[in-house]
Amino acid sequence: MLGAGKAKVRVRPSLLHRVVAETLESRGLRTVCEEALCPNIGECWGSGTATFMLMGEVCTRGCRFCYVRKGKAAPLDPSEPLRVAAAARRMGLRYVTLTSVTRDDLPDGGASHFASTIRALKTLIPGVVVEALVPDFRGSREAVAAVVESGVDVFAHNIETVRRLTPAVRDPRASYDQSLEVLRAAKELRPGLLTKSSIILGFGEAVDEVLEAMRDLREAGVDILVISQYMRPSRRQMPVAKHYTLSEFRALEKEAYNLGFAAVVAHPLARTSYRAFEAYLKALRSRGVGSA
Amino acid sequence: MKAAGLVEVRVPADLWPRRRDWAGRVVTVNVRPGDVVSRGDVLFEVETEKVILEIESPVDGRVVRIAASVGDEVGPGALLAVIEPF
Repeated sequence: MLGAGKAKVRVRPSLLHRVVAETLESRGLRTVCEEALCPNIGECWGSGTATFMLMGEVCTRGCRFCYVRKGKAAPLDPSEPLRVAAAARRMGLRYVTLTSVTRDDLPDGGASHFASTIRALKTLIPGVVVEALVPDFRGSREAVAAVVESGVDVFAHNIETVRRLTPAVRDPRASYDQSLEVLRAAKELRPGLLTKSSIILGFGEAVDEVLEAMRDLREAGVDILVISQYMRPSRRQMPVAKHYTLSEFRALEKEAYNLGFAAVVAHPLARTSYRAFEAYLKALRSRGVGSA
Repeated sequence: MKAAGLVEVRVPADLWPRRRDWAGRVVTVNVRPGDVVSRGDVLFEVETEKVILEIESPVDGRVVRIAASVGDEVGPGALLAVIEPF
């Protein structure tokens, strides 16, 4: 373990944290906040929000940075979409972030399950804004279309790292170009849709490579960019090659805005869903509602 | 054993409710028995592989007992200190 550069997180006893935990537990729901040991869990749950993780807690892929359990996934639970929507309503959420494990075992990669959940949310919570962070669906345009057509407001898919490091960091079934294609497809299918992606720093990438990834994302039409620091969840995951300073984050944020991203969240503790509502509002203001 | 009225400070067990499999190491102990602490004071720092957790005092009070030392390996729910609240 190395203390240098490691972020500190305050642990506050919070009643709301317990309310969120109880709401999720009583409905048998999972969150990526817990499954990935997210350092922001205290802040987010303490303010009454969480990111739902659909389709179980076991991922069919084995990306080398990720703490989510890997293995054989359980059958889909058809009641999950409604349970998520009911929990989100009880929590009073106006902005809901959804993500999932990767389900290579399902014919559509789980796209229709995402779509059902988004529709359930829209039905139960009038005016709710939904962000979906989806897997690559093995590049299936039909799967992307199912999510896009469900009425999702922000379509997110993470490129995770630069082109050169993708084979070393992500599961072999993922690819840099396939992820760009997923983002491009979502934008083509609904040009007014806001799209979003994340780059994790600290795997050994060069700054030029990060800039290349940003340019590639912009060329794929991505509106919202998240740049964050890799934190090794346990010794089973790959080590951290570099801890970036706040000023390095600020410099990359400036570059990202220069490249034309509508909203950028750049911080060591940023995660795809972190302060997602703020990023969404900023992107809307920048792009103009419905005019993109 | 916890006497009536005393407050235990523990490594949070419900921070990541469904992941009880993480562990950390005590890297800082900021208080000694007898110290007066305020609610929100950082009493301990516990380093996990990912981040350093700053464990706050939940109450105003006086430290009765310290149950962990620098270097101790601790998991969710481990007792760190006992405080007599004012």
